Amino acid sequence: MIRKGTAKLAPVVAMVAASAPILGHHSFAMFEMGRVIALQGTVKEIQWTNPHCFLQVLVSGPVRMVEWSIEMHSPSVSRRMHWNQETLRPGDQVTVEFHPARAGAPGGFLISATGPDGKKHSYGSAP
Amino acid sequence: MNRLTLNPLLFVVGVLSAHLTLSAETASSRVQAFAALPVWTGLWETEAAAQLLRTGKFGSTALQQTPPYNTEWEKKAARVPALPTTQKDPLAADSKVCAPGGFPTAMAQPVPDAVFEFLVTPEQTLFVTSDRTIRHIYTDGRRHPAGPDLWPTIEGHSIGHWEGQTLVVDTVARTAGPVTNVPGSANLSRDAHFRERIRLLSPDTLLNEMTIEDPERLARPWSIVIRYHRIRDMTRMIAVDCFENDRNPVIDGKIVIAPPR
Repeated sequence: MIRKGTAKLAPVVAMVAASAPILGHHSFAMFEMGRVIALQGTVKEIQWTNPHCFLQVLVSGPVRMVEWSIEMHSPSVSRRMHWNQETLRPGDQVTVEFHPARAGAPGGFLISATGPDGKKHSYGSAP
Repeated sequence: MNRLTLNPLLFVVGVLSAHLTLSAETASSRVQAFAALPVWTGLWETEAAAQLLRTGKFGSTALQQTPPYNTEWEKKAARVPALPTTQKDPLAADSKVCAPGGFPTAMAQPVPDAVFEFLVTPEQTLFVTSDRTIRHIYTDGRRHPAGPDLWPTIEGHSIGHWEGQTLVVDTVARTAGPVTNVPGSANLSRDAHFRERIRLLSPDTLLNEMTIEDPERLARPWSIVIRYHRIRDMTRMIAVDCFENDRNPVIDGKIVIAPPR
């Protein structure tokens, strides 16, 4: 299920988006930072990798399952935001909120993910 | 005969004894040298990176300031097209970088991926970053290499000495070019001369006062200050790189997300 809307910019979502990233790999112009999509699906995997982690989510589409790639920061920064590679596990039912990507594979930049226990794991600001 | 037989043995024992005494003295003096050095252990990041993680707000790095160019380079800098507003906005322009910063970029990284350690020894201080930049600051009394033994590198060549608890660093032979990869940042010659004074302000704050002289391009010395904060929420260095799983190719000038491999 997909819900679309507009939200204020989550402040730390832009963390690695220095105008030209000195180290942080890429800027965030590739994402529609003024838009938020909420999506329900099943976790396929967390890619706990440099330069960016990805939360892979399988979502029912009109014709077939669609795999969404929800981008995160590096493992280093993700860990400092209290995420780890087992925050969610393959097979978990999840609701993810993210800023959609402008192009490429279905995806976006993670804002939060709510797991099967109902716990919301924020990714938009440091606790 | 016995004397002839014993003498070599005595000689060996004597040499060994002298060697052990010398080793003990050397070890003792090195322990004393270590004891005189400040303790900068732990992980550090720039004040700008700490602020970004804490508040989500970008801080400008000292190296992004405009340097005091001389007339010639002021004109050259003016010919560089001003960045469109969109390119100053981190959310409005596509840009991607995948290379370690070198010096002095590595000393002023504004993002929290870029953490670093100082390893202080009597002979040298190592500055080690999460992107695997290693800067050697030799404090053993050596001078900079001379003549053909010195050539520009992205790190330059650094020597230093201690004035009390302050590390005084002298760096030359940095490759000419911009001091960061942000378009429009200060552009220095290969003859730029960097002097740093690095000291602990408080248990959780390090200060780096850097002065750059570059007669070819600057009208006067350029002084900047960089503050570092001790990281309390990491217990080990976590490396960053751009190559393990780069899923952000640039297609038709746009950065996109590639499907998983």
